[in-house]
Amino acid sequence: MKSQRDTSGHIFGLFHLFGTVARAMPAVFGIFLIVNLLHGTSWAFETVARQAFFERLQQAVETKHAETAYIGGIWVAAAAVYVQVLNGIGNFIGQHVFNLKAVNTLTQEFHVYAAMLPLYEFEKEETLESVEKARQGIEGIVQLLRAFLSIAVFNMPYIVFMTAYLYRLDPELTAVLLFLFLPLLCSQLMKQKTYRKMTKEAAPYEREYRHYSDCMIEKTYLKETRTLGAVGFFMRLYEKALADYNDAQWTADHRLYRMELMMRFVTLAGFVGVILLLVRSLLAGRISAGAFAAVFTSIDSIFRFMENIITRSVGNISRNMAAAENYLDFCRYAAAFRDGGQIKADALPEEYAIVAEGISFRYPNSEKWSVDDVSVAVRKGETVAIVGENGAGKSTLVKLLLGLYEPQSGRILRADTDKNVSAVFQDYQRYQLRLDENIYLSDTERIDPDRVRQCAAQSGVRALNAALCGNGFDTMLGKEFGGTELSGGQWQRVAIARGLYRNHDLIALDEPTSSVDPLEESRLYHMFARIAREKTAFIVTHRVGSARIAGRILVLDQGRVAEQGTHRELMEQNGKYAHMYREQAKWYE
Amino acid sequence: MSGRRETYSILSSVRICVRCHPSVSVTIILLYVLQGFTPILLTLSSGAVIDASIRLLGSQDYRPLFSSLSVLLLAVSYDWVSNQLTGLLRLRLQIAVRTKFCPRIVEHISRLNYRYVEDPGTWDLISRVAGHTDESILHAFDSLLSFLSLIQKTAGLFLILLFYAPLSSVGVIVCSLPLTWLSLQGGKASYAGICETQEYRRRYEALSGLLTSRKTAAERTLFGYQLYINKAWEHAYRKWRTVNEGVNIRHFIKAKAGSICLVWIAVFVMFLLIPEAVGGEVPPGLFMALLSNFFALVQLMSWSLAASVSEIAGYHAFFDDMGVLFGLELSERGEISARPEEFLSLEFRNVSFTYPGTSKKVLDGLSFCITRGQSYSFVGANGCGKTTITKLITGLYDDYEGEIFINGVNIREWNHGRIASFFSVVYQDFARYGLSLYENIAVGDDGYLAGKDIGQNDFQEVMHALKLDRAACMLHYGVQTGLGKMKRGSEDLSGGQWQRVAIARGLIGKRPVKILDEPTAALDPLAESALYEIFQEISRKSTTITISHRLASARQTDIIFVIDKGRVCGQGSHEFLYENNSLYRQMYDSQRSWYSA
Repeated sequence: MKSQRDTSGHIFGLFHLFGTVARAMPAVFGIFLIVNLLHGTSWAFETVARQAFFERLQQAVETKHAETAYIGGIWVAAAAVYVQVLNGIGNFIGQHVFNLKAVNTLTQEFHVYAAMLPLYEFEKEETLESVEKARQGIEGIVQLLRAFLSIAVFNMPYIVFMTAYLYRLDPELTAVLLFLFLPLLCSQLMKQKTYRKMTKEAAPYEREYRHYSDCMIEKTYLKETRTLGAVGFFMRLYEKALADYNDAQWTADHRLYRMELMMRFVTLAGFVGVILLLVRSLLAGRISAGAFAAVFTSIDSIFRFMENIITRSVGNISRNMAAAENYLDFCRYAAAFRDGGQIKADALPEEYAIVAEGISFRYPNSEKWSVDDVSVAVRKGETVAIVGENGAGKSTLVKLLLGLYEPQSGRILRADTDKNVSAVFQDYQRYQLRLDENIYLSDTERIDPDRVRQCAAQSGVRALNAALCGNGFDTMLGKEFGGTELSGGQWQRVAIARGLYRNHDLIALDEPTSSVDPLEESRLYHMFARIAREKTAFIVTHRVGSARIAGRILVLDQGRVAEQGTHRELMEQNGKYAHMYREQAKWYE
Repeated sequence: MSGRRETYSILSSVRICVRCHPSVSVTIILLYVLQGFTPILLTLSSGAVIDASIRLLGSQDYRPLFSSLSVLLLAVSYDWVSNQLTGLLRLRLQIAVRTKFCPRIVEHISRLNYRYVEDPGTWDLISRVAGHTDESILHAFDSLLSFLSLIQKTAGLFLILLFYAPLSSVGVIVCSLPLTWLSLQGGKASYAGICETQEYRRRYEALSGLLTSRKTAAERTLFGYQLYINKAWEHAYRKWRTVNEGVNIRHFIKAKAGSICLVWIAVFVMFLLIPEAVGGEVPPGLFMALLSNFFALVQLMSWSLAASVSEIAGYHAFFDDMGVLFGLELSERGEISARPEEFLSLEFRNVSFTYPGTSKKVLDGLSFCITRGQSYSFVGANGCGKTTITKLITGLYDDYEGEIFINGVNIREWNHGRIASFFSVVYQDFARYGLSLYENIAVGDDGYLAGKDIGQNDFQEVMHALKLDRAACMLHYGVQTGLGKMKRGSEDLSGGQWQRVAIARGLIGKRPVKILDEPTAALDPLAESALYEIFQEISRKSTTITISHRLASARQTDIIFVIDKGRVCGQGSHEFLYENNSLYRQMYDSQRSWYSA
């Protein structure tokens, strides 16, 4: 998919993102910088304070006057408290204020970009993947931003400060930093290379054994696996996949550990070098015993700061960079659709609502045309039924006519703009929101409680009152967040109310196929018929018999219009429609 | 499995690990214990290094420096090496736990009494335990050990103090006890706080899903509610953030207040020791090393102690859940024999049933009788109890009132396996196994599950009857193609094709009674009609039960049971019911009305 990575573009994009975050939260951003700067240097102060104290102590030992040591002790204590306070504040702001606010800003931006994608894109597996990756990328970007900033205002100031401090003590001592830095850098780089190769190898095995485990204990499988008596069968598969996974993980990881162990010894060599350097300096009389002790006891913290810089800059940055690139790629990909997808409404005779001329459409990664050279002209106020077998292209045609998909060839002319179409889809959504939100969600720019009530009444939502325990339109629906769970038929009514709420001249009603019993099904058709009477409407149905409510019936077969006409005409033609009709009707004779 | 009931707590992590791989577990524990001594060793040796270096200024004796330096290097390299070694051993142990313990959990869950499966509360608990069991056990083991090791490290430093200034250090230890307690409380509170925020988190995640998922894409694009939901998202996220910040700020303040107290204690000790250092009783190098190691430990304590306590509290809850899980009742195991018994009759006598945790009787005095070779159907409105009947027939639930007889024997006397061996069920929400097309169908045959091959003729016949042979030709590896998305090279089938695979699975086996649970939901009218014909075909060979709300399929069966309010309100042939049962007539007419001229 990605041919060449545009690195400079990404870096530019990243800086742009950083700018967005900084603008969205200037105060937090500023405080974050200041606190980190103070925090980083506080550790260096501690070393200086320690040196002062140790020197005074040394003096006190020689002079046998303890008083001088006490004053130094106060300095050390003050420095330690200062470090602890800043450490607390710095970590809190970094982890819980800066992080979360930045995630907030970026996620909202991500939502805006996702909204630009046309429906067609969601039919691609790659899109779904890139949406998910972009979502995960947000965390990566924030980590990246924090890593950059931390290095700049936390780690580096400390290192610069310490370098200056060591240089002042003895220019030769600056080599200490190098002795610690180089082994760390080496080991991190090597680790990076091996790690990346490894994580990929074990993943498929893991997916496999988890799936077999699901087959035994996951809710969607459990009932059937149990009645089949197939637990033992899956257990064998599970144990085998588990063993494969274990092998893969062990081979991958134990190499990693061995290598890291080796690198540790290189680092240890650096550590020995540092001590020897210090001893040399001490013996040559260039540093005092107090300074020696102070630097010696600070090796640990210098080491940690170095390690931080390296793991952050080499490890985190490269790992998070990939995540951030995913996010940036997604934004760029989505932004390309920003102004697309508008269907022109030109030169349409007054009496027509919509005209399709030879439209064809196929889904991504599919060789079959789902809709193949369909032409249809619909007058205002007309009701058109679309019937056909599974996979004949009924729902796809409706989505094309609604303007949700764009045909790959042919064109669609319409009298109305996008705003004036509405629909009740076959796979209508069950929003875990309040009842009124569930209804006015189809037109959130005009929220009108009266209209909500009216549409609810029209679609029979009122009849739900018992289920809602009298809480009315504020009732939270769906069990996921502790709301009232509705039955399939009840959710269906809510979906119809939602379709009606949207101001429309044209409406498409796609039949639900399951979860509705015979009596409910009949009521539903009557409701559809009533809705259809008032507006231009498309009714998609499996039940050929119910198509008769429409003025015109469109019979689809493998994406093409096989026949069209009224019920009577089609019966007389004795073609596909008549065949389907008779097949179904024979059980009701 | 042992019949003995075990209690579960955080200590179970140790027990489980030791049982799964004794030598590795014990080695890890030993490594942790030895690591607990490193601060003492580091402090003493670095103190000695400093002292030796200072003394070098006066004499030219390098030996003390080299000896102390080598001890220091040994200590440091031990610290590092043992870290890596622990990591490696931990991986070994995790693999052992995964191989020995996880299958036990899976097996246990797979045999749970079915009523737990449909109880959301219990099921949530089960998913919490079953998700990443091996990781949780290992983490619990880790956090327990690192907690103890932290205590040991601190104790080590105090030990040095005790040696040089016994009286004052006893006072210090007494002072720091309440501090440790405070830190423990902080850790526990932080765990409780994290649990509290989960609810808010799920809420905003769900809203984000509305804006980005494929499922909602059609309505989202048409209705254009992105702006509205994005605002709702921000609102929900801010709510979560506020709660989260509140929890964390308390945690941070506690943690840092604790460490500042520790700093003061350290400083206090230091002041107490200054005279002795000045007097020469305490070597100055050791004094300096002690001081710095104390501060380093303070920094470690402020985060690690609270963190490991919080983790321990969390894993304690995890093991509680595990205890509950292992305490749940199992349904009796019963192997399903590959050679089924002969089926004569099935009778429900005045059966009533209420789902656990609810009060409504789904079945209320249901009675009917089914005999060999006939075809039957159950019809009725949604929620009338049709699907519950299947669950009782197949023995998934056994806490019903009344009696059920198979071949005249009360099924309470049989185990689940024996009951199940009579029935093969095609569920409406059938399973889509990540197996090959062949295996997906073959698992319906008890002989195949027992390791025998299924007859090629039988297989071809079923494939052909369901027109799956054509679908198989389209697949890359024919019937051996993996289905679903799990493995590389797998292909997915359409909804209608999957449905037919599920039906084929039901038909392939030799079980005498075939139950078809609303099989036509995903099929179009023509396919539906074709399917009914296949049903008729089968019913000549075996007993069938169809559960449906589409009356056209019911009509083709010999006897129809009309279910209303949990009992049979009419039974007989279509013609009989149409004449004599008003509910049936009403349902039938309303469907027929679409086809009458």
